Amino acid sequence: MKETIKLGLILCFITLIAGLILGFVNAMTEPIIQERRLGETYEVIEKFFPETQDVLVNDDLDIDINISDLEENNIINIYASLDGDIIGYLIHSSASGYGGAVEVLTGISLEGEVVGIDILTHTETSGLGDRIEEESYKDQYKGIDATNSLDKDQIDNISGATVSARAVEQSVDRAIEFFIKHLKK
Amino acid sequence: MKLSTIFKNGFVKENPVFVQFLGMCPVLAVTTSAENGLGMGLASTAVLLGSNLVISLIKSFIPNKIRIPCYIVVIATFVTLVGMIMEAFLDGLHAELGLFIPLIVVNCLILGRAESFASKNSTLDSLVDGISMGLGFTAALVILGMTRELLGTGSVFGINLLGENYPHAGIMVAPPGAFLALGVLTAAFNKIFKKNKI
Repeated sequence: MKETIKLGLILCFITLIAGLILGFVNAMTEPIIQERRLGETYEVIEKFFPETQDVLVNDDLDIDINISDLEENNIINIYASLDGDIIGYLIHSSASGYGGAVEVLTGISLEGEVVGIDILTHTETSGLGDRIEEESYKDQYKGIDATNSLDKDQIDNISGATVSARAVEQSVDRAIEFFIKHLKK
Repeated sequence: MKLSTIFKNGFVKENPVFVQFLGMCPVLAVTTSAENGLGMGLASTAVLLGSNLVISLIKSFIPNKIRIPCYIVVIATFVTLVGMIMEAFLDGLHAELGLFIPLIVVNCLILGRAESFASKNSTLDSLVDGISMGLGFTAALVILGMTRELLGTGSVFGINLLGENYPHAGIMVAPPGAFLALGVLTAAFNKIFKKNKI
């Protein structure tokens, strides 16, 4: 009995040290990673809205949203692209895919048309699920009417990657729903 | 054991891929290009070095009965650290290797060296063993990656070598090609090195 306790304590001690080291390194690398992801997001914003002069995020936007609204609808961030006035929105939403969350950035013009989508992160199967990143798949979303609910029949699936493709559809669906509820003029 | 013997061990006599056949999962999955093979090999070497070093340092502190969970905690910690640092500073490679970075934890090579070498030898010897096995692993991955990339896309490290008209043997960059290449290279390796008793 005494030996078991001693073994347990030693193991606990080792994991404690490991945890402390990991926490320390994480604190150092996390800001760098976040900043790079933000930079990537801004690149996508400029791709969708080339006239972007300024970007507003979440609370900066003058709309009636609370954090709970966002989380409930699996919305991670809302961006507004400005050229003086707002010219469009980008909604960062997520849905469950095959290997985890699939995060999509949906660009919607002020008039309510989907400008395009970008797959921000995913952990789908390489060679199958990751085909959601192909231009031919993503291009299907260009020009979709975002003033009405997404008609999923108009999106062709990817054979062998149904769950991954559906995750993208659902993510975009959530973005469009949010646009209709909160951002549409 | 002489340091030079330890150092040569991982390249030929006990090459982790062509002789020991350890870490097959990343070997087969990540060698679709020479660059990916190199990246994975170096990441695994970093983990192997760290874990060999730490385990040989604390070997007297770890009770025999719980040595496996202790080794795994050390290895997993190093893999997580390597993953975080890669994501922060080498994000292109991190994106390419993707899910296979966390899988370094279950690379039998690392746990194998911890159990069979680092837990029984001095810190310096363990360090050299880590370098040797790691670089031997990396060399094997790069050779395999180069083979598959050359036959599959006509390029090596992204540089086109076989010209525009080379008909790509797509199978070589797909899973079956991994097995084919590994089999042929292992046969060649053992044929070449069995003659010279190293």
